[in-house]
Amino acid sequence: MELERRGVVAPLVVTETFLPLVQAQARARRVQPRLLVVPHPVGGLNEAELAGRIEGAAAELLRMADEARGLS
Amino acid sequence: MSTDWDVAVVGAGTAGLAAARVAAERGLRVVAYERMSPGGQLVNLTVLHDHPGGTGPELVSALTAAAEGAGVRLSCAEVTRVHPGTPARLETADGEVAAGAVVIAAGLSAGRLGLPGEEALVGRGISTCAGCDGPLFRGRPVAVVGDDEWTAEEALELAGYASAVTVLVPGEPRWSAARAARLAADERVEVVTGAAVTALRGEGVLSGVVVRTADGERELAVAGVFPFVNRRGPEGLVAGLAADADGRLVPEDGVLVAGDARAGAEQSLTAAEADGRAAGEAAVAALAAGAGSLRVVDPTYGVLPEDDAGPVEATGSTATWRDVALFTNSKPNATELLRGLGARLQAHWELPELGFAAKDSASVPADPDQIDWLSQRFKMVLVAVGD
Amino acid sequence: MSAVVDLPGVTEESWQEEAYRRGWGDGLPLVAPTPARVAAALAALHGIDLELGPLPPSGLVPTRESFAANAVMAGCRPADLPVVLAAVRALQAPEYNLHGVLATTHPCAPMVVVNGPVRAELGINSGGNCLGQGTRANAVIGRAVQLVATHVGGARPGVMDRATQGGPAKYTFCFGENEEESPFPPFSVRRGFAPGQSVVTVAATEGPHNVNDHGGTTAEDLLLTIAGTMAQPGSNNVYVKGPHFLVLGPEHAATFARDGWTADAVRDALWERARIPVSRVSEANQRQFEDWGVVPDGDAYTVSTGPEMLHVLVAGGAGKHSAWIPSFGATAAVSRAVPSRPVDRA
Ligand SMILES: Cc1cc2nc3c(=O)[nH]c(=O)nc-3n(C[C@H](O)[C@H](O)[C@H](O)COP(=O)(O)OP(=O)(O)OC[C@H]3O[C@@H](n4cnc5c(N)ncnc54)[C@H](O)[C@@H]3O)c2cc1C
Repeated sequence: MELERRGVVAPLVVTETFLPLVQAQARARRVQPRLLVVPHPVGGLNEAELAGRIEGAAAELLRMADEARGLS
Repeated sequence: MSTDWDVAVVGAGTAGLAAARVAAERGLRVVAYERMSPGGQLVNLTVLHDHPGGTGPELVSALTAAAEGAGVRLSCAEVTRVHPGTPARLETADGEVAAGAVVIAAGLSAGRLGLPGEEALVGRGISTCAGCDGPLFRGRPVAVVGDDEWTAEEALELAGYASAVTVLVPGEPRWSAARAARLAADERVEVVTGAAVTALRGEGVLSGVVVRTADGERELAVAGVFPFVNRRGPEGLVAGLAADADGRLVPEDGVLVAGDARAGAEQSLTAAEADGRAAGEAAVAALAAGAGSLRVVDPTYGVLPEDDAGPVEATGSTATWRDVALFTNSKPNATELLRGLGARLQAHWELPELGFAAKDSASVPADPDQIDWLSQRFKMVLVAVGD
Repeated sequence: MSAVVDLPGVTEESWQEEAYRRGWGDGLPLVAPTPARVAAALAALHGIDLELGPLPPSGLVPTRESFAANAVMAGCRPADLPVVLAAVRALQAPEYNLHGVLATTHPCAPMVVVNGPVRAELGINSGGNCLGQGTRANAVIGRAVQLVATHVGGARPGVMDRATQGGPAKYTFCFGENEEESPFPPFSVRRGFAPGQSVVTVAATEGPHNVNDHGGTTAEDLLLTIAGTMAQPGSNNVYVKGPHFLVLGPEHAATFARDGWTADAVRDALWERARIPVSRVSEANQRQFEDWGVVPDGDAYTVSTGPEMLHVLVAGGAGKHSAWIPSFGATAAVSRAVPSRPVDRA
């Protein structure tokens, strides 16, 4: 979130479980983070499960990235 | 006293939402029952007159969001009967509940002419919403029945669509001189006073009405009629509570009534809002006055520090959209997840490479030097947070 | 939202239900923080400034009233407030890492150690069962510290407090050092405070892990047992490093002293001897440690980064027990003087 304050586009990859925490931090810092939410957990996943998480979030990331860059 | 709710509000229109919000902001458990849709009469309004700010839909979302934000629970159920008392009991479509205080903010029913065959023609020529149905009557004649400020405004709005608007005033108009002047200035509008609608014409859809004036009865060919008369209050909803001639409730000890539903109400948005707020305060006060109200210091209270930092401009960053990095928190798999996502972006934007940084430990805040470096060198940084 | 709330229809009897319904407290009964009780508690601060900053994750700064309300809810007497305040100030030191501590999945709790005369003034137990139940001051001070963090900081269990299992120390964890029976200088004095000064030290730790040694008669015997207890592969101190604590029972401490050991000597010896053989760490975990930059020293892992990370103190009563208290790792032992009434200006 510090990065966004300095003008860097910084999407945060966060699991559902940690979402409320991240949102509270954002409120405290008065910033509106770009959030890429993936299902919990991430730790302890095998390769196939991890690939699924990546697959699930990729489209949203590209959309977010294009939008930030002004391509969409 | 064991209750399901501290305050139960019947009707989530302008008055009900205001009352519910006020009570919830004071920390009470508040439910607002609504049988149709939150906003009440507002839902039918596009442009708002004599009221600051926004359109009907905008005000509906603002009021609903404020109420829900304060903790009000909106329940889509009709209240069929209210029994005042300590606690009050409410019969609802969802069963019976007990509440410490009740606010009746049920508004008025839709306008009706009170003629045979009328209900069958609602939506087939009979409407009470110029904003919603006006466009259906483009280029065709309509009639408006009523005598108040809002009747005048609806007629003026309809004149924007219809070929002719006949305003049938049962007695003498009650609207202001300014509105009278605007009606007179609109060549599509004709105001007929001392007019009563005595019959409806039409098979399946409305084709005209019969109007009686001092001059006798005549047929008026119209495709639509907008009645704003005979709007009735929620008479009989509250056991033992008196109503005026229009069915609007007379508040009594222990029963709070707010908005259009209250006998003597002014019937405007501003008045409904103020009335609602007052009822909310009165509910809070009534509960506080009841046996054993405890006052405590809120242990969660705190103040936000003055925002000294504010957004910092990227100073001296030469980064372009080709400069993209990953920043991992070093939790297991976080790096792998970022690399996977990064690879997608790399392919999508055809980037030669991606930068990479790792936090020393997931458990401590990021090193300021690292943040400095990242913000100087990169335009975009994908960050992993949490487990 | 205002600092004072009316709870219509709520009585002292139904207050508990109301508090739980609002998500307040830790599950145990709470004293209702009425304005009168809060005012009485604040009076004991004698106008001392809170000097508190924003508490994560909410970022809110407690007011005098909300700070005192939490102490009241925890059951504090007015006189307990300066100690609670010193502890909360200490939690706010950046090196304590309150944000990480509140949000972590690790079961750490704010451990509060008290030195100096305030122990006797408030009846803070540093003797028998001082880490257990039964002493009001210990119970309510530790609890108040946790409630301030939970309520104002907003680290509600399950929402912001992400502890996997948590631990009982999260209810309350406060004790005094048994300076009277310690052969060593007081812990606070070894940390640079003046003798006779009342000092609070906090760190984010697990609950205490018992070290039982009934057979040992020499310092060497005891060191073997303590080192063995500390050398376990499942603590955060193995890979996140950071502080940890050895709370010697007075009888174990006396054995060390009789054999000529100082607290620092005990600490240095344990740094050498408390080692975790690589064979006791799975290969997957070894790789994970390595990713985090943690490599074994020869054929064993160390507990934390050096002898100075182990804090040795003395507490408890009769018996052959001591305690090792591992920490979250990404935290520090932080000490603050207990504030006293500002000197009256004549
Ligand atoms: C055509 C027209 C145009 C208007 N234009 C304006 C204007 O431009 N400016 C202005 O200031 N005012 C205007 N008004 C007046 C204004 O709309 C009303 O005064 C105001 O909306 C009344 O709000 P309320 O909350 O009292 O009632 P309502 O908005 O009528 O809300 C009552 C709610 O209660 C619900 N309800 C009723 N009974 C039950 C039950 N038993 N159980 C559950 N729910 C129930 C209803 O479904 C409704 O949602 C206009 C009125 C009309 C008719």
